[in-house]
Amino acid sequence: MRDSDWQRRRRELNHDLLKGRYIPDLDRWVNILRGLIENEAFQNEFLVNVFPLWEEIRTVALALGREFEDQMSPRCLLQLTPLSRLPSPADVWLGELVHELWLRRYPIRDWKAEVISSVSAADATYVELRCLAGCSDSLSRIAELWPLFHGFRERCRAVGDAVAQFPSDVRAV
Amino acid sequence: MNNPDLLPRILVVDDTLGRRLPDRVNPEREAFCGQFLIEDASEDASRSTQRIKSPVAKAVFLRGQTPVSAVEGDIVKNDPLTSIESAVRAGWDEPPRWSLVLLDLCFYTGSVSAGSVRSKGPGMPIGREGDDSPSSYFGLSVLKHLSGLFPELPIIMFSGQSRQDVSRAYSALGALGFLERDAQRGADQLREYIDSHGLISDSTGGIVGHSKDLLLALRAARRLAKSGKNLLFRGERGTGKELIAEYVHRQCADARTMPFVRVNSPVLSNELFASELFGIEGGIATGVNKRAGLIEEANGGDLFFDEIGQMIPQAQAAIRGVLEYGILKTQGGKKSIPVKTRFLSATNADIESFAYAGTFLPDLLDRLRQGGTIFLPPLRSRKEDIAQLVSRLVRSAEAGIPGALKREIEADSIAKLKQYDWPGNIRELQQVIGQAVANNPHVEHLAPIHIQFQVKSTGEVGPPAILPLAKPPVRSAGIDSILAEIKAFSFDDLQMSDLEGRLDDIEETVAHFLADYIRTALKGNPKRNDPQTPYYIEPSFKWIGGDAYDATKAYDYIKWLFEISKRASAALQEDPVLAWAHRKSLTQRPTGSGKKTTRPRAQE
Repeated sequence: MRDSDWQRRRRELNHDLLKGRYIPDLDRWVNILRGLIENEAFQNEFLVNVFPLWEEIRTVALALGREFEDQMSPRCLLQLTPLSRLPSPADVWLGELVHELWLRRYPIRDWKAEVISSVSAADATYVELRCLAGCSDSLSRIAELWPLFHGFRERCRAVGDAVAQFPSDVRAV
Repeated sequence: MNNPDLLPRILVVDDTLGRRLPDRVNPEREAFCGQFLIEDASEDASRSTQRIKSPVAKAVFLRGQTPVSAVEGDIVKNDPLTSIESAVRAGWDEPPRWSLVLLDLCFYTGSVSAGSVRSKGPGMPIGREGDDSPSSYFGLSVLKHLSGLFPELPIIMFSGQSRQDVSRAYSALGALGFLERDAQRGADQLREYIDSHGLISDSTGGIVGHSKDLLLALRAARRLAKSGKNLLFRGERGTGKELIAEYVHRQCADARTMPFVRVNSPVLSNELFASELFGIEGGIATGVNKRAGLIEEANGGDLFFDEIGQMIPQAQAAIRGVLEYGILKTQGGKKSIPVKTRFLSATNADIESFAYAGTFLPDLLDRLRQGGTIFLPPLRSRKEDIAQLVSRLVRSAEAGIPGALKREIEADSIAKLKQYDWPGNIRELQQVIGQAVANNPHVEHLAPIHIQFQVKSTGEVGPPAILPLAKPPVRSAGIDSILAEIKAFSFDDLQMSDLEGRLDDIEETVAHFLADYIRTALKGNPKRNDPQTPYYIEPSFKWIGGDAYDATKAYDYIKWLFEISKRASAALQEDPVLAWAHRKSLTQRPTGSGKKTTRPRAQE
């Protein structure tokens, strides 16, 4: 079976965007602030173009948490052959039953809550950092914020971990 | 790490990081380098203006796919395994070698489209079914192929994919770990992986060389050092067992403040060993002052025992007691002193056969190698290090000879040195180079004609790494038979043509023989806590020559030793123990200009 739209979007968020670009860039930024590397071009670009990518990540992560129950429930299997040939209303009650059983077997709503809380934690740090960095008039002042940026990086990682908890396939019950 | 040549060189095989962009720097690679503090050593690295101040490593990147620089419309395919093999081999068979390989799991294939570029970046395809499935990761196929061909190549998996899904597979295929793309403390973790698994030179420069065999021995030393347990070093004479013990010692975070104490086992006589090893309580006899023993001196650090195969049985039993109970009693003392000393022991003998024959306590052997055994390669198996070693030794020899010119080392000389078997290993190389410089101090080149080997090269493979001894290691039997053989030797038995012009050679040999005896005596009488005067000269001579040897006679003897043979003298100056003793003797007993020292006699 080919990947669903949800699976594809999760992979793009977790593998491509968070682990492949955003977290490495946050690490690089922290290393610049700590004086371990020099990269003037990235230094000028980070706060303007890179850091705000969080807003896109936040939106996608919340959407993935919200949509998982609908898109990855085994109820979806009823839309594929041969189950799609079931007569109505059997497909309706069977779908509901399968969905309920699935929710009892897996803590789907706990996972969803974890996504929301991890996003909230990261978002709070993001807002604080944007404010503090915006008020700082020099790199040396911003450099003092590196522990906070590092904390934000850890919270972003926690968002990725929370999104990764959802099963990677549609599981039968 | 100040010397860029000593920076670990790693290969990163990764589709995203390895790709090239036609018009700009690969942003993911630059981010990765900034994240893990890596210097980009790829051909296209000059486009980046990023500067890493203290890099953990330098890296070359390989996409493992074609085209390396893909554009929209291209179809990206994984390279045949043989192509990746060739790239790895280029940095494995010949130096500079890969210290470590970071290998990605998931390689995305297929067509590069506007959509794939938007979601995955320029030059990247969206991926085909199976590309990101744990059961068919291309990275695992590459791992299997490389592990089969290069079993000693350290490979670490590097991915943003789930580690759990593949941990069994990559462990079974020989990968040594997994570095997550978003690893917390990523640079520190990479540094730890390089330290534990990487093939890296000694960054302090104390141990010279970058051959595979040497780097594997250094890695074994770093790995085993971490346990803090007793270690055994094995290797032929002259392979540098003491140097590697010091290297193990330096691996401790607080090595600078921890003691490192050396003991030469053969000089621990029946009369001396207890007071030397365990110390002596004050007042047990007239004029005896309290003195700590070597084991107590090494408390909280390392005690290096050289030539343990020649340790007397009484000393063996006493040391076993310390290792068993972690306490010692000084000679004449009543209280037990707790000690936490790591024993680093060295031998070039077949110590198991000694244990089997009953001349070495088997349970002491077990305790001395509790943390493992480190094997040192002979020089003949690391001939690629000869050039680097010679460079170091030549400079050192020049420094020891006033007025010696700084010389270039000719390639032909290195080639000649590489043809020899080196049964005496690095110590022999040191002697040959010392002699070459001493005999030719006023030339600007080390030419093949200057190199004289001590033994004719057989062209055969040398003795095995661990030399089994036919006889048990009873010291007196060895020296008695050697002396008897020399006494019985007659020049009459040789052809007259063989004897012509050999006086220099014989004097040189005698000087080396005596020097080795005196060096051993000095090393057996170390003076502690005084770097200016590391050995007791007078007691050393009393030990080898009797009470008639006072300080004056001892100094004169050392001065005379350096005058026996010009050639030997140059080589002896390379020996730190003898060179120090010579300097000391010259200070204590200055000789008038042009005067020769006469050999002092005990009875005079």
